[in-house]
Amino acid sequence: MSASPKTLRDRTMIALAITPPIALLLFCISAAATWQAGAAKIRPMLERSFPAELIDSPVTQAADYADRTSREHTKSSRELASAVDALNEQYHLLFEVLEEHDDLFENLDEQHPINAYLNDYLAEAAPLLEMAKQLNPNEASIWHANEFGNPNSYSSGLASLRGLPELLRTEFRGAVRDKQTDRAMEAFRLFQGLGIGPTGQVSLRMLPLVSQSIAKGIWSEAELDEIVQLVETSPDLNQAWQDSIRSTKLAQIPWLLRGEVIETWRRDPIPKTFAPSRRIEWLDRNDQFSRVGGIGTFAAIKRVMKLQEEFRRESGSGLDLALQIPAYNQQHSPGQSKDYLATVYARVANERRHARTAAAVATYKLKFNQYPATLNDLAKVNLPASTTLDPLGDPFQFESDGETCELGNASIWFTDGRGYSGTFGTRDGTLSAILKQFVVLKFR
Amino acid sequence: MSSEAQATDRLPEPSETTMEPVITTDALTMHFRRCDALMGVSLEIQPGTVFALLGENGAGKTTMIRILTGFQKPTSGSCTVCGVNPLRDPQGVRRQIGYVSDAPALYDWMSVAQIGGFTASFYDASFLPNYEASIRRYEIRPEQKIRHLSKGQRAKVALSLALAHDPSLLILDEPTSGLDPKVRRNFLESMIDRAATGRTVFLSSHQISEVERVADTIAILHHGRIRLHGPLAELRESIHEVVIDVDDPLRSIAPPPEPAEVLTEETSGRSRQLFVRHLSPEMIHTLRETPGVTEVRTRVATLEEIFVACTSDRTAPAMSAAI
Amino acid sequence: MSTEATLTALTTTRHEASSTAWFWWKETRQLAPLVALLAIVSLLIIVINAILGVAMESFRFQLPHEVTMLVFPGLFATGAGPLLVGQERSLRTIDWLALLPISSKRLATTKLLVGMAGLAVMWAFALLVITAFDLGHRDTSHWMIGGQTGYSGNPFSYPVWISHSLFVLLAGFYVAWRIKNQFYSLIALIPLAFSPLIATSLVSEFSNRPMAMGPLDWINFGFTLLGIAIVTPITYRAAIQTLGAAEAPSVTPLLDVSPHSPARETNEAIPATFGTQTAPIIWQSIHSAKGMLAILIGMLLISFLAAVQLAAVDRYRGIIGLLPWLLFLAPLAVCWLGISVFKHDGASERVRFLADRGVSPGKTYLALHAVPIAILCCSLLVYGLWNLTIVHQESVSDFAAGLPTLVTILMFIVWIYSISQWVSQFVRTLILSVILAPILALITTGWLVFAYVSLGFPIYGLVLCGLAPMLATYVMMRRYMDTADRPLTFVVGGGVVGLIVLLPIGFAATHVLSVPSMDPTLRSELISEAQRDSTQNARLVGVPITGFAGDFAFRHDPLGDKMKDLQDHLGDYKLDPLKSVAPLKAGGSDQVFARMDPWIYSRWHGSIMQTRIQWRQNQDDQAWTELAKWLDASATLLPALRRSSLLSDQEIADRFEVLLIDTLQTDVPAERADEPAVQAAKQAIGTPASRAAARRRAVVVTWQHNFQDDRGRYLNHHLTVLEHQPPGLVGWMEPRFYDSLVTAMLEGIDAAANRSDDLGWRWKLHQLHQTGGVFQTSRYGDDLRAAPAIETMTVDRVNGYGQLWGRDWEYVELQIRNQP
Repeated sequence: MSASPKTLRDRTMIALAITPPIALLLFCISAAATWQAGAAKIRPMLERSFPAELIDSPVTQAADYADRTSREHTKSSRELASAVDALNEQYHLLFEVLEEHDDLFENLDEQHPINAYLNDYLAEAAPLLEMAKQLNPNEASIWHANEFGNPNSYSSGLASLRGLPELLRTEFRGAVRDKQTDRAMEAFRLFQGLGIGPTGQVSLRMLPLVSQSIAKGIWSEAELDEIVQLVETSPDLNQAWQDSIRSTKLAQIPWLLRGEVIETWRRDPIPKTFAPSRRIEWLDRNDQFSRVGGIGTFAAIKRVMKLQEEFRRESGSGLDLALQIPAYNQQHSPGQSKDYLATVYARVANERRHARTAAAVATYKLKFNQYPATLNDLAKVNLPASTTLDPLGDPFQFESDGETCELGNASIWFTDGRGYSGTFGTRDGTLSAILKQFVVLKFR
Repeated sequence: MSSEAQATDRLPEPSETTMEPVITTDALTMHFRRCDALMGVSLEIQPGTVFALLGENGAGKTTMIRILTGFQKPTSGSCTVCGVNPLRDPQGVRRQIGYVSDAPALYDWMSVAQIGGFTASFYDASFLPNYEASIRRYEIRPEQKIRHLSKGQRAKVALSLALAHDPSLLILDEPTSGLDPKVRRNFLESMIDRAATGRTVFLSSHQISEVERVADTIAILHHGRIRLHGPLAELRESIHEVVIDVDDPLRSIAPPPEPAEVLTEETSGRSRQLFVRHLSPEMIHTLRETPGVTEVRTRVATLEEIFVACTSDRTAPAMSAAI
Repeated sequence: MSTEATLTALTTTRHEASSTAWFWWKETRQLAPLVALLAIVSLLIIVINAILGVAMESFRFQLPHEVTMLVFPGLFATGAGPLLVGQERSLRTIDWLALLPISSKRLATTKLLVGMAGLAVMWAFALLVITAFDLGHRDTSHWMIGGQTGYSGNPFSYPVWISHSLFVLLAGFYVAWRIKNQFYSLIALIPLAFSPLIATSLVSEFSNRPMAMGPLDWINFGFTLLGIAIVTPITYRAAIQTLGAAEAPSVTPLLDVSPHSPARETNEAIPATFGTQTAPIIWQSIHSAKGMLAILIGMLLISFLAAVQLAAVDRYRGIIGLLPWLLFLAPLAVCWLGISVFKHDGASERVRFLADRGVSPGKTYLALHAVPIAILCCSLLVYGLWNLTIVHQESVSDFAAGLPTLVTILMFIVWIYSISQWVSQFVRTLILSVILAPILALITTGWLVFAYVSLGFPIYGLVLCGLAPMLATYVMMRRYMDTADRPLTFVVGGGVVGLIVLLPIGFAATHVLSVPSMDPTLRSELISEAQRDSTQNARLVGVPITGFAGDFAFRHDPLGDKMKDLQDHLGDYKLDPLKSVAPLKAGGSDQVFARMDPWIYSRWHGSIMQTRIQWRQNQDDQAWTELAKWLDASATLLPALRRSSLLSDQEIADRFEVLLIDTLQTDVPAERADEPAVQAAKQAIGTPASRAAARRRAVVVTWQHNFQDDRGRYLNHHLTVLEHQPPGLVGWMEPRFYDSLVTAMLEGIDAAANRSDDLGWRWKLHQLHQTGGVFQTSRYGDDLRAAPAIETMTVDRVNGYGQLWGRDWEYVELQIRNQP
């Protein structure tokens, strides 16, 4: 309509009005492009660690689980589990006392007030134990009804893990009281057969009892070798660490692929979405955790804590975060905190070293019928020096005068687990945090 | 004011010089940031006359009126209206005058009757009947909202409001710009008989035809200076248009001698057109005598020509106000 | 003539009224729209607060009623000055008013008195509403300055509020007299109005000890009175000066050059030339509101800098504590940018100026919106880029961690901007729109957030509601340019408000109605059946399952001697079956029914398994008598459980039957088949028909209980589907989900009764109990149902009904059964 050509003022005015919206539009489009690119990257990253079909649907996970397990023992293992649970429920007072009395192995000769109840329980549990022996229930191979992909995971029907291990621990205690080493060895063998991974629960750990029984000197040299053999074949810590990380990643696949959190308004009323860069960042962090080597050592704990502190302080500033709803910083960190797991693994590793050292001392006693003067003498019974070190790398506390000796599970004495002794930084604070309890084996 | 002249019904003699002037201004100057509105204006307006202030747009008329009505302080100089200095007592001045601005701002949410009633409440009882009469005369429906009135009707309402309390001095700023010819004519007649009844009318306009018919005295304002001031009749006789035809275009003609003043001079080909003030017959005769002049024609200048002459920039230095 | 009659009629009545009456009438007529607007909006907020309070439990966000009512007189005071004075000065009616023989003293004082009278009316209205609705907490004394103002969220006592609003009124008049440009006067009014509060906070800040509310109240009151004492004289002087003659600008005279000489040439003199048609409009909209746009951009900048500072520091003490208040400048700026579209000084005239030159409404609309939208896009871009640089972690700063994303902020800005630009076209005067727009924007934003969070209103709906006002102003553009928009704009406005309010409700309604409720015939039939069943003659008998020790078991005494506990109470934990079911046996002939909890059943189930294993291992009489004892007790307990009308009891009974069938099939040798205990056990196991009847009665009675006498006895149905619905709709959808649950269960019972493996009811139950799960791998799917029930049933909890219905165990024929 206007005849005259566009003047400079024209261009500046229109530019002034047009450029900001266009720039904002470009910003949003590039954010969307980054979102798409990120989303496309997630599946290949998952396929690096899981087979393709496993990623897609829980049905394949169920099929995969069915192939890896057999239904043959399912019925009997569930019967055994429910029977043991009922029995343990009836005798739960006994277990509370057992947990408290750590002087049960003090002197095996004279009567201990708890013996009567212990024997009653073991008498009632005899048939169950018999069935357990025939069944050889290796947890890994028995099929249990598990509703893959359904929210009611607590209904998956997995036999509760508390009953049988508790039974075997009590059987081991009874056998040691009665000095019947074959019964005790059978119980220990069954317990190792359960293949329970490293855990923080006291009721699921047998090694502390085994170490105390070794201190009583009831074991023969062959049995000590078998014990050492069993301790070495228990599940490898690094593998357990990788499995736990792998299972948390497997459980998060729906979140990784789709980026939404299933809204359950009781927990979080505002529906949230997660940008692919946040999910990739979570995956990378998961991989960095899985690359932490030497699980079970104090160095590993430090490395894990350093990683966690690093993740806590920096957050990704990917372009696609701008399209997240509703905030930049959506919290999503499933599973137990990794430094807690690393500490548990360190405690289990230390228990194993402590048990093998105790066995070596007992073998030395049987061989040279006197206790070794220092830990270095154990080289004679071909015990590698590294197994006599506590989590901080110093040798266990060891005093011996030939007739009697004492072996602590750490280099220095620290407050008992229930007491508190300093922060993580100090030596005894660290040991107390890792080992929770200072155990001294008295060899008489 | 002397006591014997207070009766309003007696027709005061316009020529009575002893009357105290209604408006006197003394070297009013007004400078704005980018223009000099008034450059020293001194006037005296006699009561009972219709005074017209002529000037182009932006000559300073509105500024002058704003100073007179006390809306604006001048940069320097002073003025008195009805004997009162508007700066010291603006309310006193405004009570005695009626002022209609060029674009009257009224409350457009009120109806005509309401604004009448509202204004009447501030004056004496005679205000409302006068107002209703003039509204009826202008055929405006009283219940109509001012928002819905046309520009002309709005001007009429403003006018009625200004006249209803019969002010002694009426100041009008281009009053007829929105009015139709019929209304304009009877409005001007009403101005004449207002002046007749002894009221003064201060008219600021650039409609020469209108002013010619109404004004007693006029002043021409140009670039903030009064170019010409005096009674219309006198001015008209005193300014003649002289057309001199010469045989040779290059011949120069001596300007007429003293007391005559040449307002503007224009040459087109062989004829020269002069506007001369205070031209006496013998001056014409001498002009005819001068050699090379073939012919000299003179006639009385119309007001329009006077206005154009005064406001063209090529004029001689400022005219002195002549009584 | 008619005009004459009306004129005389009209004016004679008012003729005698004195000028003061007229003057007050004029001033109140000018104040009326503000009073009406504020009264309506305050009641609107009270109603909305009521709705929000009722509808949202989980997400309680409410303006404290009392403070809302106390704020509104303050808003009136803010608006009165500018409206009475600013408005008249901008429309130049003040000059005409000055022509009347009213002394400027009387003019100024009358306007002020009218303002005060209006304020008094507003206070009367506010205090009336407060006392009528009893908003503040009565126990705290609000009328005593410095008195304990309790927890009603009202920081000051009423006298301080009143004196503060008086101060704001005077400040408003001062600002209106002093500053000619209306918008600048409002901007200047804000800090002036808050000056007492700022002074008080500075005093408490530099006395560096936290002061209780009482002394703060007194200090604030003192500063307010001081403020009033200062502002009153300067207001009066400003008024007199403004009404008097305008000062002459003190400027040296220009050199006397002819008007056209180059010396006068300045760059304004060069005419701006334009090629296109939109560019000049944009140029005009920048230059005509240069001051206003600069102020708004300044406000945006200040709040952005405050955000940057807050994100960089993680402790909010001292002066940093005031920064969050600066953040509120940003939404206010967005709101007033919206206002500047149709309302900055001269927008309406300019729009008519463009209409006269034939510029199309569409082009004008775009050009008007160009500058504000450009500013908003710039600020969003800066926000987006800034967020790329900072770390969003609590460890760095809580503020940074909580920052909403660009998309969220964009949505908020769209809502605020579109609502305020619609208000600016809808409301005629600048003052009213500047006050009304933030309030309406706040209400709309609150409502849409509530819709998104609680009503499950989708995002595209939010965008639609956001853009509706923009569309409304576009549609009205042509009429607005011809200033003929008055009647139709109400219709379109109503449409916009209707859309924003009704669209979320419509979505919510369709979402609720998408779940079919039970058809009335079936409902009435079930209710009649329920009444018939619930008057059954069986009486409830308590089953004292031993083995779950009494209250002392729960006495958790860490210092207690566990050894002594063991010796005394170990025996109490023995589960003796016959003793437990003794009361049932004693019942004799009349029908008795019992209740059992899944956790107790899991102990019973384990004990039977224990005796079976013992019998399998020992195969001696003592083990058999033990097993027979359990069989006999179970045989007594099972029918009693079947007769219970509680759904979970039926599930327990199903598990009992599975257990007994499995025991009879595996561990009872043929030669012992005719033992009384075994026969009793066989009798106790029901048939598919008897089970179906028991289940149907349980379903119907439990549902009826919940539906009729809602004494909190909810069907403990683990309806996980409710957790996946929008929180606001759960209450509406719950009965519908219960209806579909009952319908599905009835279908399942029939299917189990006549052994049809139809999939429908299982799918529905899966959807209700395990929402979001995979049907194929769940206990309702075929894979797990194919396995034997004993291997897959959950023993210690019931996490979904009907998982055992219609499976193979119901139809097994016990070989050892010798009579039907």
